[in-house]
Amino acid sequence: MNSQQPDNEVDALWLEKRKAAKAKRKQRAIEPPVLMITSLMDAFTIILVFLLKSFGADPVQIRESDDLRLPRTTSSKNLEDAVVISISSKAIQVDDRKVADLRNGMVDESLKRDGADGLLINPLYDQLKEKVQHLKMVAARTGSEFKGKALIVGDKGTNYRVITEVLYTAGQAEFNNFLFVAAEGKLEP
Amino acid sequence: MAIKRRAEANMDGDPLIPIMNLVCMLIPLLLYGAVFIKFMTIEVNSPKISSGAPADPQEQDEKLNLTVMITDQGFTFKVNPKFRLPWMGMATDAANAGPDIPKKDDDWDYAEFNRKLKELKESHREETQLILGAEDDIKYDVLIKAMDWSRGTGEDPLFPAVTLTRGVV
Repeated sequence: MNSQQPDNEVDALWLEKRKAAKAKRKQRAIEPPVLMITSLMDAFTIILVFLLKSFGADPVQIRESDDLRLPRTTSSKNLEDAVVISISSKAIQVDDRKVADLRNGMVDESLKRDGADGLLINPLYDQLKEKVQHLKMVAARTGSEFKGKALIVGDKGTNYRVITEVLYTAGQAEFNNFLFVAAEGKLEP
Repeated sequence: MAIKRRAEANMDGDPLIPIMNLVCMLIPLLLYGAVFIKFMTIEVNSPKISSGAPADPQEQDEKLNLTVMITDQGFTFKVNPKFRLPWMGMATDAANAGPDIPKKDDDWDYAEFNRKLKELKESHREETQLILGAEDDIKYDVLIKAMDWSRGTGEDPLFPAVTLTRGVV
């Protein structure tokens, strides 16, 4: 009987110790994880600076899409700030505002001043005229000169006919300085 | 006690959390707007559509007046008849006549186009003007490639001043 009592005491002590260890482990488990925020901040700051630099490098934002795949060029002339006329496979836009739809890669004759053989695209002309008026007003207020510069951003599958129609219309709306936009590439014979 | 101390230590990082939130919002926003492809421009003169006042005939007579037409069959050259080269067809109806540089492997032979331009440039070092025209269904990509091959390099320019003309003349 006496020899059993110390055994029970040892067991109780052992159980108590085990319980304490378990409680300690549990307490450690619910403890919030330590986040090393400083090194993370360093990495994020580097990414942020890089992205800010690439964001602000070009004066105009041009985005390629399935409808607007730009051809490649070896030209070394950088982008300039100007009115952007983009010709995707589906529509013609002026500064991200759609002005005319394209059907089978051509401008619908109902949108042209002289029908199927006409070169002047009415909605494009109206929109560009509005732009010209605004740009002239800005130029007058700032004491600068209206340059009549337009960036032509065309899908590589655009027909030459549409290009000439757009250039003709822009020319009629007092734009006379055209820059074709293409992505940087290499000459491939 | 140790937990309390650790929690207190964590509190030091707390002022950075709003900044972290801001940065986390800015990164996707900038990634969306960022452009990783570099865009370049090619300067072109407006298409010659209406007939303006005629240029001085004597001056025109001394100019090369290089015109290249891109058709579905290849490249066709036109120059001042005085400077015509043997390989130039110079047909009056460029759309129906055979091209001076026919297509090769179902694509326009840009390398040959470049060689012919170099040949013309050798005898007209001062000329920079090129009038470029194309059939209505010629793609923009072909036009840009033709411009690239006709530009030459910075030290050795060919005909970098491109004027577009309406259709095939």
